[in-house]
Amino acid sequence: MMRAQSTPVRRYAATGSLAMLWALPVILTLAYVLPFAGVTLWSVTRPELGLQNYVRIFTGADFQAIFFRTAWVCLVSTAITIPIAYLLAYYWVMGSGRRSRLVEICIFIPFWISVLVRAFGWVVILRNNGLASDVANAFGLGGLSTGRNVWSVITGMVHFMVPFAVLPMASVMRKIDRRVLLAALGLGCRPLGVFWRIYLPMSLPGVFSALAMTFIFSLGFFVTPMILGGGRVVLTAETVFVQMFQTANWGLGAALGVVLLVAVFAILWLSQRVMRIEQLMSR
Amino acid sequence: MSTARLRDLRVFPGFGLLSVGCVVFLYAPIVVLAIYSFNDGRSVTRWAGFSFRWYQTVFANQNIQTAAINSVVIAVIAATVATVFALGAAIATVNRKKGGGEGAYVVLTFPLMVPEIVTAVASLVFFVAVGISLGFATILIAHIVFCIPFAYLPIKARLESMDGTLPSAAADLYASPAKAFLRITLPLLVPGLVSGWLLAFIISLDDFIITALVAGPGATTLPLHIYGMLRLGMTPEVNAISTLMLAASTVLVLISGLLGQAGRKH
Repeated sequence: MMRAQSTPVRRYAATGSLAMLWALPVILTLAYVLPFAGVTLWSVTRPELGLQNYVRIFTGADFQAIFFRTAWVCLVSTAITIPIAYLLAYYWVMGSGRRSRLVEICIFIPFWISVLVRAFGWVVILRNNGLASDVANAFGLGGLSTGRNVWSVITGMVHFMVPFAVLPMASVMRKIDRRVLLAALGLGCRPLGVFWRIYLPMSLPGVFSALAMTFIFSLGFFVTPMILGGGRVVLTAETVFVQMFQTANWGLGAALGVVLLVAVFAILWLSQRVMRIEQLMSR
Repeated sequence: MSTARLRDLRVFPGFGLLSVGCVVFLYAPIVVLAIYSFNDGRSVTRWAGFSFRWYQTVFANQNIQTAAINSVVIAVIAATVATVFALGAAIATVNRKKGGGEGAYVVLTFPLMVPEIVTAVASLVFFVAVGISLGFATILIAHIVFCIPFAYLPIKARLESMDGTLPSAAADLYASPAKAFLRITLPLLVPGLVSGWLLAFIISLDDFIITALVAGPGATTLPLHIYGMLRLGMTPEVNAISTLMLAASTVLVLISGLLGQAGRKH
């Protein structure tokens, strides 16, 4: 069976796509690996050879403050994103036909909307004297802190991340055997108990990958903090930009980029390990 | 009967209300943007009557049109070239665990995880090192490169779910490999190709960071232009462009949805 499936593909590989097959590693190396090697090179050669840029990043109080802020904003927005996305994923997978389709549209349309446009939408709602403060005033909640602050940035980030976080969770939820749930119901478990003791644990792998993905994505957020923070909530990604293009500290900017990249891969690696451990536990 | 029991699972008290809240949260900024694009006044938050004046402003603005045309041209070329590369990559890697297939998969999907600002800086460093002057060409090259992984995933998924015996049967019936590919594999891959292309198209159209860094002076795309407008001050003109983009992406989503359904029926 395996053989029957792989032969025709091999045949193409042997003929039509042979050139592609050989060209591909070359192109990929050129396109993906070389530029990053270049960035790493810049980080240790500009302005002069040495690790001074990294020393500056890890010892400077200003950079530590930025890293701390980035970690904090990412953690908080991930923590808010996951429950919202879980709820939507649950309704998408378990909901009745019409409701499920409604949720599907809700997830996918924002997915396709420009990140600039979405951030701008939140600026309109959250800025000083914007709609959010009007609504708050109408309910007698004057003095609600709106405008360019951390919470605006987190709101925009959560809004961007939710559709992305729904997908891995939904794909795991879809594989949950409904007969197990029915069996539990049949044995007298209450619906909430079925959810809490069976559905939630079985959907956890999806939650973990959504967690890792959300956190990794939020680490690299640039447009949303830039527009919603308006220069007051500068995170790591924006700092890379500032160092490269506003203060022309190319080496420092490149080093920050390398640090960001290493952080992402570290989290990726860690999440892979956690998931493997999680798989072992479930066995 | 079983569905009736499962319904007990769906309807937890408060869940419905919460999910309505989530949907409102997802749509609030989009709806507000769209409503105020029809505002007669200059404010994006104070309603001053209904009018199409900002849409007229958008359609009369030469710069916006140039930027929009640039964006669409870049997105079409980038998505098409990326889809061709992705198709080659998918065919070369699927079912090839030994011959570097796994490695190629990792290399192809890693860029999806790399923060965009890092990719942007890397692209810029590359172009500077190679000595290509920044402009339309660098935007195009960068877009092709970062679109490949996005185009690759749906094509790969489609290829993996495809019945592998069909090309084999064609080969048994004396179709040459090229003919079997063109007449069997390629038509079967069309839904994957379409969704890969659409994804790459949207990603390219929407990109801001990488474009901003490799654009150089002069060349501009719609997101760059919108960002420039946002910096100058918010007027409902930005809302009007955003609403037009929204309409365009909604149409694209609907098309891809319909194509997806048509693909499922076959």
